[in-house]
Amino acid sequence: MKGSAIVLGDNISTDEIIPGRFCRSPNLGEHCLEGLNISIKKYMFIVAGENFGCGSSREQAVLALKNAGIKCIISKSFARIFYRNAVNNALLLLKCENINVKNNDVLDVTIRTAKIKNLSTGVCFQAEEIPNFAMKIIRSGGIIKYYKELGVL
Amino acid sequence: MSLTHQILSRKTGRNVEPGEIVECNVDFLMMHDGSAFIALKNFGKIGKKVFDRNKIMIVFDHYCPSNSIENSNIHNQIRKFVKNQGIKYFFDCGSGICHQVFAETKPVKPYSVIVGGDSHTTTYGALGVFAVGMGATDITVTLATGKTWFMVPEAYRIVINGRMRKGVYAKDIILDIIKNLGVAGANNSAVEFEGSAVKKLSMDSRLTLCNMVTEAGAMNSIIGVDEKTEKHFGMKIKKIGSNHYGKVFEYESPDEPLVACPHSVGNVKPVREVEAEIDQVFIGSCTNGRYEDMRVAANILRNRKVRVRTIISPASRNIYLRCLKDGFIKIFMQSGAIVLPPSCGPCIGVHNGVLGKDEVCLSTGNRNFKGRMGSGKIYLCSPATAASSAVNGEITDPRRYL
Repeated sequence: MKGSAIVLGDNISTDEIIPGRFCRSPNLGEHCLEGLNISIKKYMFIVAGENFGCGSSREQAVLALKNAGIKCIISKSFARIFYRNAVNNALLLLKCENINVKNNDVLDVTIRTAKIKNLSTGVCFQAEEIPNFAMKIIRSGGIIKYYKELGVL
Repeated sequence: MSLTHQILSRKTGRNVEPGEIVECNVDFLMMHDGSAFIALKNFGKIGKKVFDRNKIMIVFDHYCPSNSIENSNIHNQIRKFVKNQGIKYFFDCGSGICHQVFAETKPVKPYSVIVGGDSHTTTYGALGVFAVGMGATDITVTLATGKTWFMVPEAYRIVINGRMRKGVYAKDIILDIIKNLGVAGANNSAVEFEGSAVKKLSMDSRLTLCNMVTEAGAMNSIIGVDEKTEKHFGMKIKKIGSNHYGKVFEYESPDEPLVACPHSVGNVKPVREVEAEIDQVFIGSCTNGRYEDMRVAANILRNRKVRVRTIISPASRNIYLRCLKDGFIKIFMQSGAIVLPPSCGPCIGVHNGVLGKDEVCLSTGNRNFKGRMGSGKIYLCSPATAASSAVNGEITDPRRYL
């Protein structure tokens, strides 16, 4: 996957990703990160710090990011509920401690190996590989589809 | 083993270890009109019966009474689902905020495993249960199968000792803990509260304490069963001991009232150090809309007038009725406050108190993230600090009025 990245800080909350008053909007992506007055429409990646997705369990946060065109979020750590919601809805998350990216840098991300190359600077980073059980769910297109394939649902 | 690990071990039939992933049967499922919206959309694609209609609670609290045609339509879809599936515990608009309704309804006994479609499901830890908040798709899976998976958390024991000083309440204790641990300091952990200060806390206060532990990233919280738990359930309950924690933290109950400043719950300072004019005060929410909170506010607002827009919302119909009986609602109205029926509206910025540009709100809610209540800035505090500040028109140390 190749595309440009927007850089955000630590503790980006689901209130900032999609404010409560927009949770019922049919166009979640339109309001994504409106709490921070940021437009992410032209980006494929978000690169953030610690605890991305903290706060409310609202799944619209994941849906809004996907709807806005985000393909993968690279962060030092993720909040627990957000992580589950992302896997359940097949949004890719990579944990990476030492990544160095500036706004609008172009990244080349290989999910299978969790390798991130910053094409704007030529520097490579190694993220943690997505755990096997999460990858299976993501490959199926989310947990509902995955469980249907397994015959659980 | 810690209480959480004992509950999970009993439920899975083997000794669980932190970090492992376990599949687990669930004793009860709770969701509200916010999470049910997506959960039922998903569930429609599965086309099954729910796992057990007697083990599900649905509460309307996020959009109550409805603020739009769209939300009214969604409410009607959920009502239809409740009827078709024969859901036993259904609470329509005005009943209360889901976590308070759950605590009052007591559909399960201590040591049960509960999943809730809301991050503040940690609240029920005060009742001695293992309760975890999840997103709507996880809830859908449990709705159909009665099961979920957990990564077994590491147990953190948080000991709070010392006496409760004047003007200090459970809210101040939990703000102090979040300040010390950091907003991700308890990530994925099972927090077990202990200590002389916790022992003395009422059930209302314990619910406040456990409610906000999610703001430090905890997966769940739990307080061991004691005579206050037994009183709440109106029955004798077996008490189990606990030991072996990944980490132990010891704190003294804070010396003075605290406030979390914008835009992080971890940005906590003593009230006396914070100078801020306010446009709105909100007293309510699943954190601080309980009877005890209303009583504290009423005692401060009695024979006084508020100087800023003040919104008060008891967290359930039951609490509202008790407030009426004890004259609190009259005190609130005479003080110039606006009294709302129970709902999440103001705290989540959906309706009934949405902030305009550059407005400042002092709230007894649980989150002060940018955009949470609309525009503007949010400070978080106890009901005593909120009521005192409403009277004085700026953030004010409640000891002045106590």
